[in-house]
Amino acid sequence: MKESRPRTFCWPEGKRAAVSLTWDDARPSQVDVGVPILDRFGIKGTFYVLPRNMGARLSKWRRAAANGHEIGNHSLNHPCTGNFDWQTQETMLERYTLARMERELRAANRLLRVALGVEPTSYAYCCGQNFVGRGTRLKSYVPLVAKLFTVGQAGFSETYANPLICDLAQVPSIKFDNKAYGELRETLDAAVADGCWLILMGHEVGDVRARQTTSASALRDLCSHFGRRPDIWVDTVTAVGRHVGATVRHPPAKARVR
Amino acid sequence: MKNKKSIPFSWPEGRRGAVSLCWDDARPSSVRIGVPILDEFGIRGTFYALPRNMGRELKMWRAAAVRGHEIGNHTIKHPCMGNFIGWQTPETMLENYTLGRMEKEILEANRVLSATVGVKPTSFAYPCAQTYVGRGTTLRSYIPVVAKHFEVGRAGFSETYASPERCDLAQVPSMDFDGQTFEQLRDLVEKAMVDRCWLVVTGHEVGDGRVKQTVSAKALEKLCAYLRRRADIWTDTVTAVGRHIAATVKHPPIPARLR
Repeated sequence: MKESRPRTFCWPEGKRAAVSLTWDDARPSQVDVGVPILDRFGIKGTFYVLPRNMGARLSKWRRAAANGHEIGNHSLNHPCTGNFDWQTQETMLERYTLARMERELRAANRLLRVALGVEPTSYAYCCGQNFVGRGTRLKSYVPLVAKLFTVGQAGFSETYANPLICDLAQVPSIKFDNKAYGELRETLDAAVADGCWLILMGHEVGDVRARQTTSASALRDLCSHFGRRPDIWVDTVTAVGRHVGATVRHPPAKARVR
Repeated sequence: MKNKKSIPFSWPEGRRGAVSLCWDDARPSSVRIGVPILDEFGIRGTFYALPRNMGRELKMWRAAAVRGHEIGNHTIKHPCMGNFIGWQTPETMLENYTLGRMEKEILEANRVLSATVGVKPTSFAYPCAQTYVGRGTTLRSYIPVVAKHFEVGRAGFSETYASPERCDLAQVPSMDFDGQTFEQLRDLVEKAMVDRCWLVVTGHEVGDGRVKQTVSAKALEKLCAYLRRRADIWTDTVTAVGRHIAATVKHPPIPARLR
């Protein structure tokens, strides 16, 4: 049952595994608290910026982008399932079409390019959801993300990405928020032992007890740990995804499993 | 932002909301420990059974089905994304599936369950809560296949419960049941009832709640006692609740400006 374990894949420069640190929505605490911690350790993060949220810290976001942190696309309206009572009839995915989704993903890319000077090459699915419509007429919008971006990041995953197997259009990511350093280390150590790519996904940065918040002290401890671990490649989602994309080819499924 | 309350919907007999208790995979402890607790309180659960796991407890599963517990479809091979190392194989990983093969295997699971347990499943639970086949630009959702063959498809690892007016019955959200205390579960039920929603919770084993993927037997007992006392909460199987919603709710078409 070990067929899916990496066998022939190599990370660059003899690294054993890859890690990407990511945050969604462009919450102000990300540039107020998170980016300065990353900068102190020379680590590049990936930020999936919701255009309507970046206004509050526009110059800080510009500086972060110029400094090499990745600015990814997180849609225009943050559409999710209508089961959330904060979604409206206008934004719920059950009432989206693929055409509207494509228009809005392109519009978000334009807004980010104009405001921050970089064209996004990665996308994070809002609420980790990847559909439009409902029932027999529902469609996945993963193919659209595959067409427009180098990497699509999925969320709320139970495991990390196996570079030999993973679909770059929906790379799994694991919850970053509300976890102590010890818990994050356990996940990291398992990913390194498996030679995999761990993507952590958070929202705010600050007090671990606050809702949807990555612990600032756990982030500091994690960054300082990376400083002592030259065998771990810590980089943006697009940088790691590009290496995986250039190295791995997926053969078509064999006829017997069709 | 309370648009979801603008469409009139009512639960039967003046109830405030609905709750469904689910277990996946047909783990032995779910029928050996879980079902007797549900029976003691007259509550019907929903069990998404993997045929290969039912063998030793088959008689108990049959008896549970006769007593009104729902037996749902959870596929034949439990296919999930290939990123699970040491578990998924090239044969079972969703990246190597096609819609045609998925439909064949789902119908095969229905046949096996009909033959062994004596009931044809009317609801389906997505293994690992994943709903696609293939990869990249050629990836497809298999939710439409589930919508075609079942009254309800149950999703998982959800951040919220189902709004009856808005939810897609082909992918009803469900929340974690494993490892939760009674107090956590009760608070979640209360919240769902305030919103007049449908709370579906999903677990795996039943026993010591500190063990991985296990619903605490103690929490389950207390939850059942609590649900029994609350005449304003409709506790029933996934299909029973889904059927009521399907018969009651009509979804307006998408206006041209949103297309």
